[in-house]
Amino acid sequence: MDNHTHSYCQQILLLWVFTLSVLLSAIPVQAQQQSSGQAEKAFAEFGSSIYQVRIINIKSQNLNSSGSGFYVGDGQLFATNYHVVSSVVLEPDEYKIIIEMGPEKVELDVVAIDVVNDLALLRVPRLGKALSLRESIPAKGEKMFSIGNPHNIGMTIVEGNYNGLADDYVFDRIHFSGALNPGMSGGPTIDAKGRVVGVNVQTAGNQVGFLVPVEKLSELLSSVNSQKAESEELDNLSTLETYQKLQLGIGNQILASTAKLIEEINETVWPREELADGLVVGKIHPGFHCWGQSDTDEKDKITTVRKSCNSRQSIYVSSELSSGFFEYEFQFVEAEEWPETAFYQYASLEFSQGRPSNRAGEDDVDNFSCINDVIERKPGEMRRKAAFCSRPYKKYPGLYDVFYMAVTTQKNDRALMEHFCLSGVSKENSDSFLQKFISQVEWK
Amino acid sequence: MIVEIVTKSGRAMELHSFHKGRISIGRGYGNDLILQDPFMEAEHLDVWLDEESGKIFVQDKNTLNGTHIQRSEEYLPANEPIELAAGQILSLGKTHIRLVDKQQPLPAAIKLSVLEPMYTKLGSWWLTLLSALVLSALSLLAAYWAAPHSDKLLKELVQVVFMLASAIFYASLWLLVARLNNREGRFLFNVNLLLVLLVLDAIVQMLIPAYEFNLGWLLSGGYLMMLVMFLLTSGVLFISMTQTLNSKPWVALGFASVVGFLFVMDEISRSLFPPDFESAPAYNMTLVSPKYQFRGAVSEGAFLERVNASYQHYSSEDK
Repeated sequence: MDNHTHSYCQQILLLWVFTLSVLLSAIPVQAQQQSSGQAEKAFAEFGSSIYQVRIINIKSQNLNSSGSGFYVGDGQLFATNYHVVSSVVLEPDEYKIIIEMGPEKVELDVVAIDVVNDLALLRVPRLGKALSLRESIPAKGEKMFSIGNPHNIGMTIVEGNYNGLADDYVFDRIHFSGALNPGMSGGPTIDAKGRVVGVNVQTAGNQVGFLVPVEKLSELLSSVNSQKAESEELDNLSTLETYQKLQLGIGNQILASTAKLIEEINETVWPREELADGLVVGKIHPGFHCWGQSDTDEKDKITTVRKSCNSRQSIYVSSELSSGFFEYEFQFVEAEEWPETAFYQYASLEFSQGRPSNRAGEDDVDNFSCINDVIERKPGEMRRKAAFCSRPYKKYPGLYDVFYMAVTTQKNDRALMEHFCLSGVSKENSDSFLQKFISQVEWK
Repeated sequence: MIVEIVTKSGRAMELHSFHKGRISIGRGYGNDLILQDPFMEAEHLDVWLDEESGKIFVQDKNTLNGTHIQRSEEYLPANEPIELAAGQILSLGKTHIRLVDKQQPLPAAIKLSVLEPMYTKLGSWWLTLLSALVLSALSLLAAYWAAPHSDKLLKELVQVVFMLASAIFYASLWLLVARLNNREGRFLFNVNLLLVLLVLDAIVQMLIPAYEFNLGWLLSGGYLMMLVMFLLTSGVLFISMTQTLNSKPWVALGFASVVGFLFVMDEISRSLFPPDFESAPAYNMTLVSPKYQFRGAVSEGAFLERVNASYQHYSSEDK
């Protein structure tokens, strides 16, 4: 409905340098803490396993974006963020991945991706020293070192502290208090012994960084290994076929994650909360966050109370498409001393501005198609004007973005609006969510 | 004997009636009909009526440019009496004339429209006053509904002044055209016609939300508004044209529908050629007060079924 609830999400930058021109205008570099000597040691020992990942535009032969990455597993695999290599996965004809080993440029291919946890595994034709993955959970406050190439200014080591999993995230993220910057995406955060704890992924600025927990990386690694064991044909696939397979997998990964989320949501009893004269839904999943807002206009004699909740995180697919984001909202409007016609005219305008909550363009989704109706729970009860819209994804069959809104139409000077937007859901999951959502709102 | 000076297409511009049975036409001052056309001879043409047969004869007086019979390749032979068929147009220099016998039968009188008494009333000043007042009241009401607690409602009256000015402008155009055609201007009639249009338009605007809520599923309010706009504008133009210029109904109908179409053309082209992609959903949330809701409701279950059937499949072959 409106943007204020997304402001938090927008502050979190993916740690990925778009172009070199962006670099120079980016966030000012922060003064680093003086290292205690451990950082020097770590860098000297493990620096050779970490490289800058350069995404080259094939036609112009120029750098398009860059991130970081490191050797894992058997020394032939290389880990980074999915969002660093997304343009290669989606448009293998236009982009390629290069790492520079001294004077030599080595080209890498993507072999596995996990879009939900923003991870990618690449195959390197040159054997390297793999970093080991830490299995035990570090203590809160333990010193960590994050390595990467921020703003394309050279390999950098940043000292910070492990702060455990960030509270209530739908997709697990470690909170790392250290200065992560664009370009460090995909680089490792290691403990003093050089074991990987997480993969740099996002920053919220001011020493608040986020890492993908290393378990997600081990899961992806073992899926690659089991696939290899299962069939040799993987090796026989051409690069292009591999990318086509990866592209198809994106839809399934989004679907699996939203299906799991909706299942968790629908299993619980949804808490009821008061919103002015209405009873609405509270927080329906620990990973969701809710915001409240109210506004009383003394002169126009109109009161608005608003509550909105969303899943905070969305799944990055490309610079034009994000998905997996859930949002719902309730709004109470009261206009005492207003003629009914005027009030409903105001409400029509107020509630006609609905927008989808995820970023999606013409290449990825079709237009919304909508149905409008007047609904009642029982005859004469909770009479609402309702609208439901959905748009199918063009490349991922079975995925939809859905939009629902209903406004009560029984009272003369007050109305209660209910609304949700889900992105990247299946028809069945969207239906089951709507079925539960539609029967919740009530007047007190 | 009557001589009509006509346009090339035969529309009479001037009428000259003579009691004599024989007249002369030319540039010279000695003629019965003096025409100032430099391409004409001083003594150009003789015309006479044969009393016995009732036929009209003409004789060209051996002129430089000759006398041309319209819609034929022929010129009148010099100094030779020629019988003229009824209704034939002659060209002398650059002037076209038609010769008519006084006895010639005329077409029957056209019946006044049954709406004529109403049209007469439409031209009265009290209607101007009334519609101006109604228009002001409607504008104020619309402004009040848009912001009931605003203290700047009277600002909306500027709108009414604009509307009055446009009505005056509209009527002035017709006045001008009518006067050029030597007809009565019917100024107040046209002012009132446009004011009535604006009143009707304002009323329709107010009724649209209730229509949209109750019957929008039949034909969306946007399309209805477009249709009403077209009918109102074309109707007003049709009445103005037939009443002010006494145009033939089909000519007026053609003119009115073309101009009426121009008003809605933009919206029609927008609905015929929508943008390829719209990121926002085009849902309808028109709400009206409970007392104007006449539409039945469906149960939540029935709505869920409709939702389930509404998902579209994307296939690249569609595009």
